[in-house]
Amino acid sequence: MQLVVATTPSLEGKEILVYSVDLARAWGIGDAERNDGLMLLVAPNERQARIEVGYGLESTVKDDEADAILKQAVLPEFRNGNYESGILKGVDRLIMEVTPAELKEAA
Amino acid sequence: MNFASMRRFAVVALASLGLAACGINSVPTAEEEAKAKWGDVEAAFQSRANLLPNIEALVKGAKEGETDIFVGVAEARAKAGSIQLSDADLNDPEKMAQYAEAQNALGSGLSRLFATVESNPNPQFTRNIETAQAQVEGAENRIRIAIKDYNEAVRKYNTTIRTFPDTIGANLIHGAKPMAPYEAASPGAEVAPVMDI
Repeated sequence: MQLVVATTPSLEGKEILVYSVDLARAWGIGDAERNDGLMLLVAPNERQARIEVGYGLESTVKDDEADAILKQAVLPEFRNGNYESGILKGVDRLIMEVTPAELKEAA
Repeated sequence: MNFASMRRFAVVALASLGLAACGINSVPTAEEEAKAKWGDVEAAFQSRANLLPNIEALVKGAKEGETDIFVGVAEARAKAGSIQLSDADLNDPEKMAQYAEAQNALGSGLSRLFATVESNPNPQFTRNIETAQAQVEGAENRIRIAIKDYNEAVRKYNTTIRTFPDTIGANLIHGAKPMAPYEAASPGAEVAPVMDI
C-alpha cells in the first residue's frame, strides 16, 4: 500500500473529486493489481481537501472514516491556517486506519 | 522461400494488416471496454442501493414524526430498481435517459431525507445519520467517476465506428450502432457537495 500527500496550487477548474482521481491514476499510486493507493490532496487556494481511497482499500478506509478524518483531524487545523499540522494529523489517522489490529496492540 | 511463396506471404500479411486497420478488432474491443465500464456504473449504483436498508432502519427507529420521510426514498428505490439496461439498451439514448432519471430521483430523495433529519436532537441518531450520509456521498462519488469513465469509453467507441478506416469494419461486419452516453438529467444534478476548508 502507498500513501501520498499532494498539494496543488490549482485544481485547474476541475472538481476536486475528478482532479484527485485523475492525479492518483496518472501517478499510479498504490499497486496496480491491488489498487491500494491512498492520497490526501490539499488545494489551499480553492480551500478544498479530499482523501482519495483506492478501490482495494475501500473496506479498510471506509467512506465515513475518511470523511471523519477530514472533518475531525484535518479541516479544523486548516481553518486556523495550520496546514502542516492538519496534514500531519490526517496522515497519522490514515496510518492508524491501515495498520492491522495486532500491530496496534504491539505498539 | 521461393519468389511465389514470398509473394503469397506478402499478400496474406498485407491483407491481415488491412483487415486489422478497418475495425475488425478495434470495434469490438472498444465496445467491450464501454460495456465493462457500464458494468462499473451499475455496480456503483448498486452499492448506493445497498446502503438503503440501513438508512431505513435508522430513520424508522427514530421519532415517529420522521418515520414517513423514508416513503419517498422507498418509492424512488422501487422505480430505480425496476429499470435495468440490457447490452442492447446501451445503444438507446431514451432508455439511458429513463435510467438516469430514476437514479437521479433516488439521489434527490436521499438528499431530502438527510436535510429533513438534520435537526433531530438525539446525538446518537445524528452520529449514525452523519455516518450514513458520508457513505452515501462516497458511493455517489464513485458513481460519478464510473459515469465519467463510461462516457469516455463511449466517446472512444463512437469515434472508432465513425472514423475511417475502422468505420468500414464497423458498418460492413459488425453493424455497429453508436452507444448512448450517460447524461445527468438536470445540470448540476451530479455535482458533489464540496467540503470547504
